[in-house]
Amino acid sequence: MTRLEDLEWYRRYKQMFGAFKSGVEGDRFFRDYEYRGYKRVWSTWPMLEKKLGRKKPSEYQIVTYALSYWADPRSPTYIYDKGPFELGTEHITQKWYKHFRDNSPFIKPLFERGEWHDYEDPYKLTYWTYNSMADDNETFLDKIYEEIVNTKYDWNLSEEVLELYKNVYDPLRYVFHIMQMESMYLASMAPTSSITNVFIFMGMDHMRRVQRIAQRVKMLDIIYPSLGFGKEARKIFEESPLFQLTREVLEKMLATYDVGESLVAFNLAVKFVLDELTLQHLTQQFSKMGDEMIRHIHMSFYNDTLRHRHQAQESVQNANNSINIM
Amino acid sequence: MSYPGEFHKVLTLDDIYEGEAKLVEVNRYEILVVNINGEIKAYYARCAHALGLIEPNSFDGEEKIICPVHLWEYNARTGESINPEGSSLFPLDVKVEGNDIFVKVPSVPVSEFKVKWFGMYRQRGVINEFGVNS
Repeated sequence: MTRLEDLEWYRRYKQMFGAFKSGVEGDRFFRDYEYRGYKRVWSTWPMLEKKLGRKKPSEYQIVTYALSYWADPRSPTYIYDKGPFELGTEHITQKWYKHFRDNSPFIKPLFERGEWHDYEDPYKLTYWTYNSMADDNETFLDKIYEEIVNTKYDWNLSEEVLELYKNVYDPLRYVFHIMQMESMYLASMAPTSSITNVFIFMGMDHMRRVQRIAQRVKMLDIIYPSLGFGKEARKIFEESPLFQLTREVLEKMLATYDVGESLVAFNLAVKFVLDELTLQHLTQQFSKMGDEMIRHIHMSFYNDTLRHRHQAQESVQNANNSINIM
Repeated sequence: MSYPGEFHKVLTLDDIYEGEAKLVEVNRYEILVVNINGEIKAYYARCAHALGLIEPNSFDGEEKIICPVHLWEYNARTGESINPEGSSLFPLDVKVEGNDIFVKVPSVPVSEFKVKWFGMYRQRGVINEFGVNS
């Protein structure tokens, strides 16, 4: 191979522009001409191949498998010259993740063996499939809301139902919004990307509830402007004795940074109970008072809940099985 | 299905992973080779409906081959059509020797092959229900 220095044009270039001022390394031409190997890039394909053997990975696996950062020297994310998370070596982010995720008692045993990656969402949801599904759900609810308007449904609601809407239903926005925040925290801290995805979609489902409750309350406000719908929700959530225990548990949960702990608290306790209370028991209460429409709306939310439970159950079972094998 | 033809080496087992399909061309025959859980199958890669070319990504990786032109669905193991029923892809004989995959390519010219094979459906009245076949 011809050496760069022997080339006529390069010699001239050197004379004219004084190349090599900062040594061979700093010379643009030299760098391009003498190929010195690719920088290794982060690809999950070799990992998938290790897992699957000679099998074409499914779309779900391609877009989901082992894509999250983890501060482990064996991780594919460590080979960047910038260290884990591409943030050097001493960044607060890395400390945070090490402390609250990597060393969390629930996460650690599997994390060290890289076994969290084995979790697969039973629904194999990708961004694409989740959105098409959510779109259908939204269409369903849109039609119901249209129906409520077209049939002047709200005109016939009894006074006690309106009270229930105002004092219980409206503040639920805060409850579901906190659930959304918690889902997103878990998404950002999950030990692997397949679990991250589950929580991202879960967060989106909770956001949808917040929006739909607000929409419903606004509809009532338009028809009953004198009742002050939507004005006092925050006050009720912060002060009504009905909500204080809920608020306490939710805020404690939000301040639980350890991932294993918050994962269990949220999925196996708080969310389970609150979903059951709000989407089942409260719905029955509304039904008793003569509001049947809300059952259909909550059925759509509860379908999401059933999926969330299934996913959470799978992830916890996955962890337990792996731990028991040890 | 017995038909006159000779075996050509088209791929090696390293070329085609489980759940993958590859399109190769031998003597103007487009051939779709699929790997279904380690089992190798080959079909003439033209849909019986409108002779649409079936592409590598028409195979869903498990059980179906879906023609990209009008979404006719075929069972990837047998070539029989699932939706609508009563039609079929033309299955080609496959032979795996060591690491090499051989496919028996018909020895008649493609134009003649198309008339013979796809004409069959016209007589049986499968195609006429769904429009004119070229």
